[in-house]
Parts: sequence; C-alpha cells; structure tokens
Amino acid sequence: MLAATEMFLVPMLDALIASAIVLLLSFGLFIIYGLFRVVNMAHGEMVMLGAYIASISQGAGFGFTSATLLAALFVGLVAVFMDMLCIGRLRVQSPVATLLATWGFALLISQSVRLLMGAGGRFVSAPFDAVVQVGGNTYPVYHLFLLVIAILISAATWFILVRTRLGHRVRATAEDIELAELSGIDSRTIFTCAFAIGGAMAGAAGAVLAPLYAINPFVGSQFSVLSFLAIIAGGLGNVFGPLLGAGVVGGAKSLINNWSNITISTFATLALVALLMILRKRDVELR
Amino acid sequence: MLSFGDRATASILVVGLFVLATGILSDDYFRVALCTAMIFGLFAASTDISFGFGGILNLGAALFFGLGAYGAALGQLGDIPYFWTLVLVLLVSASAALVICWAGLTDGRTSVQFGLLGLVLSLSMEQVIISNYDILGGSNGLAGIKLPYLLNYQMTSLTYFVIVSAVVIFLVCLIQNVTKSHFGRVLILARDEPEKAQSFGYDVWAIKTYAVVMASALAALSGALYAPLVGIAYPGLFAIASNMVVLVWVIVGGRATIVGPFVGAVLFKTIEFEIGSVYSDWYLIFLALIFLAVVIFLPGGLVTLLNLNGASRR
Repeated sequence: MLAATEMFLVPMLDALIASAIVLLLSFGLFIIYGLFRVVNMAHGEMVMLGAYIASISQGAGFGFTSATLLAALFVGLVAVFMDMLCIGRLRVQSPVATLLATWGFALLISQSVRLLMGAGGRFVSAPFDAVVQVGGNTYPVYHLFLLVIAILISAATWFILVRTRLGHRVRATAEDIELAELSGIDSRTIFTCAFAIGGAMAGAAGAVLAPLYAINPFVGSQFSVLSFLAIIAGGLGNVFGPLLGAGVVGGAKSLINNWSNITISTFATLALVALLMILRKRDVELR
Repeated sequence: MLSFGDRATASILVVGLFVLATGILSDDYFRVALCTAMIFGLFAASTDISFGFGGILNLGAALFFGLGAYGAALGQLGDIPYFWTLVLVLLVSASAALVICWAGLTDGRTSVQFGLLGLVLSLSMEQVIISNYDILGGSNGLAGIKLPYLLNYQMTSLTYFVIVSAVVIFLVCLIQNVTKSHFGRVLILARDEPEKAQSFGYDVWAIKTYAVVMASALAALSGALYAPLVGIAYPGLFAIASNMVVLVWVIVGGRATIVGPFVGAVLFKTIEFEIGSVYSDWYLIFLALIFLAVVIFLPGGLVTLLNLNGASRR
C-alpha cells in the first residue's frame, strides 16, 4: 500500500501542483494572446511586477490578501497604460508591431525594476507555513492551497467567459470583430477591459506565486516561457486550452522529471509541445 | 541614375571601410569594441534576411549566434583548426535550422509560434548549458579562448580585426546583392503574397526555409568570430536580452534594407561601448525607449529618414 502511494500518488500530486502553478501563470496570457491574438511579450514581466508589488506591500505591513489585490490592481493599471499608449492603436495596424512594442515594454519593466529595486533576489514568505504528510513526503499546505486557487480561477474564468454577458461580448469580439461591432459591441472598450483583466491576473499570479520563487528583475522571462509554452500546447481560443497546456508543461514535465533529470525533462516537454503544435497545424498567422 | 541597390552597397562599403580605417588607427582597447561592432553588424544583417525580407519572425535569433560562439570555443578546446571549426559550425547550424524549419515553419504569413519556438529553444539552451558544468562550463562559460592561428601565425588583435572586418564587409555586401537577386524578389513575394507566390509555382515553405538556413548559418558564423575576440563563450549569449537587441538593431535600423540593420548594429554597439561603461544601468532603458519610439512612430526604421527611396518593406 505504501509502495503504491509512493510510486503513484506522490508523483501525481507533484504533477498536479506543477500544473496548478503553470495554470496560474498562463491565465492572464490566455485572455490576451489566446483570445485576442495579441502576443504580450511583457506577460512574464507583469507577473514579476506583481511579485514585487506583493513583496513591497507585505513589507509595508499589508496582509496576504490585500497584497495580492494591490498587485492585481497595479499591474492591471500598467496594462491599461500600455494599451492607451500604443497596444490599442498598433493592434489594428500591424500585429507584429504590437509584439515588438510589448517586448520593448518587457525590457523597460525589467530594467526599471532593476534600477529601482536592485538586481538582487527577494524572498516573499507564504501566508502559512504548515506542512502535511502525504505518502511519506511533506508538502507545504501552501502548495495545496495553490491547487485550490488554480481550480477556483479556472472555474471563475470559464463561468465569466461562457455564462456572463461580458464573457459573450469578449468572445464575440475575439472571434469576429466586425460582426461584434455591427451587433453594437464597442470592441475598443472590450479589448481594453480584457487587456486590463489579463494584466491583473498576471499581477495576482505573481503575488500568489512569489513565495515559491527567488524574485529578481529578470525572472520574468522564465514566467513568459512557461506561459507561452502552455498556451501553445493547449491551443488558442478554446476555454479548456489552458488546462491541457498546464497539464503538459507543468504536469507532464514534473512526471518525466521524476524518472530522469532536468535536461531530459526540458527537452521531452519541448518535444511534446512541438508534437501538439504539429498535430494541431492551426497556427496563428499575422497579416 | 543609381539604383537603391547600388546606393545601399555603397553605403555598406563606406561605413565598413570607415570603421576599418578607424580601427587600424585606434588603440587595442577601442579596436576590440569596433571589431565587436562589425561582428554584430553581420549578425544583424543576417537576421534581416529572414526577418526583414522573409517576414519570418524569430524571437530566438541569438540561438545560432550562441551556438557559433560555443562551437568556436569547443573547437579550440578540442584542438580542431579554426578553419575546420568554422566549416563544422556552418554545417551544424544549417542542419539545425533545417530541422527547426521542418518542425515549425508554415508556408503562410508571419507565424508567431515559429518566433516563440526560437525563443524557447534559445532559453532552453541557456538552461542546458548552465546545468552542464563539466563539458560546457556551466554559468561561468568557456573562458580562455585565444585568437586563432592563420597558417601557423598567431593573429594579433590588429590582424584579426582587419580580417574580420574584410569578411564582414564582403558578406554584408553579398547579402545585400542576394536580396536584390531573383531569390530576394521571390522571397519578398512569398512574404507579402504567399498565395500569389504559390500560384506562380514557387514552393513558399522551401523559399522561407532557404532564408532561415542562410540567416542562421551567418548568425552562427558571427558567433564563431565573436568568441575568440572576447575570449569567452557564456550562457548569457542565449538570454532574452541577447535575442532582443538584435531585433532592436534590425527594427531601429530599418527592416528589409540590410544596410539599416548593419549600420544600426555597428552604431549602437559603438554607442554602447562609449556610454555603456559610465551609464550601464541606463543603457538598456535608453535602448528600450528608442525601440518603442521607432516601433510606434517610425515603423520603417531610421533608414526612412535618409530617404533611400525604392526600399521595399512592410
């Protein structure tokens, strides 16, 4: 019995937690890139910014929940600022230009953070550091808490996108902008809303995941890579895409890592994502 | 009347020879900076083949530059003559590019996923190198790479600079002429009107693959020229900033002009050397702001300010 739990349950739980982390990371990107095809290269930097805001506000005496909300609010406002400055305008002209502009913002954000806060790593403490015993392994309760948060956020996003009026408008705009405009939807406002929500989710993810990482100004690229891989693996436009993507990039990688080393699991995950890409063959093409 | 092609080639020659003359006259320290600038000029010009003329977005352009640098370093550690190292680097990078194209390149319009694939490969390579201390030197990189021999003659910084500059000027002029050739025009057609190119009987995927393979091999060559100059190959070559700066040079200089990216890279690299040591914290912010300004207000790049008419771009 114990052997079975060690062989099966523990790796499965590890994989689930890894998937939850990737899911949390990639949700903001899914809304911006998956639905609106705006390649937000600054996504990882937004997550990093959220982590910094959480760390600073915790240092100022805020609790975990309020620090997370502050991070979401701040990064959401940064997203609105980016949208007002150029993304909204460039999106209509040339999608490649939006991609490049967001990359410019990525560099700007990480370098500004480095200038203001220094290049050294910061550590954020989890709101509770209790541990539980599962199959002979100790797990921080916080990891299990992340799993619950990830499930709640995916359920909420699914509910908003599929069941509410705002969700219908967002999906309509994402699918056919002209038809949406003709139906009386202000696509410009909807896009700004979506970009702000995506940014806020990235910020919140940064705040929630901050205790797991050593946060430094350059950690954003790591987050970007994970989330882009997850979105590509899961497919775009499908509400269940992020679940599949997180399962592959987080879960499958963690499972493979159990039996091999980090180099093999990295390349196996890449191969898996490439395979999914080839199988799907429906690529995003920019005009 | 001069055509744009001739003017562009002439500008490359003028800028290249000016840098060459300055480098010969200046001290060792500044010469190394100029040599670096020339090498990055070749890197930017090669990236312009696939990104500017082919419209193929590659966010991981530095992957091949880094592979070239590590190739040169490993070649020297393994006592392979420099010439054969270069041949090996070109072969390996061209075949790697072919495999990547086979896996990810589509025959449609600009593909984001192909661009991201490059970036992911580059960043994974960085991780692999950092986690392999024994063979690849880990995060310290492979240091102590010396300037290569030329027929039993140990090159000095001057001879290396002259040879590298000559090679770079020749190759960039060659790239400029290739983009004006029949192949270059078909590549532009495949970028702007893939359906039309297809109906003319061209294999769009094959044409784009040629462009990527050519660009990758030349990027690897510039990497292989770079490592002996600075004496080290390090994992930071694959980092996100390395991938980004080359696109900055191409965009700011002017996509699909060759001369724009070449001059842009040479100029920015020299500026970086001049102000970078004093204001190194601000340099990347300055670069990001210029990049954003050009993307938003001057999509054609700085070349449009010089009014070299007839330049084709999107």
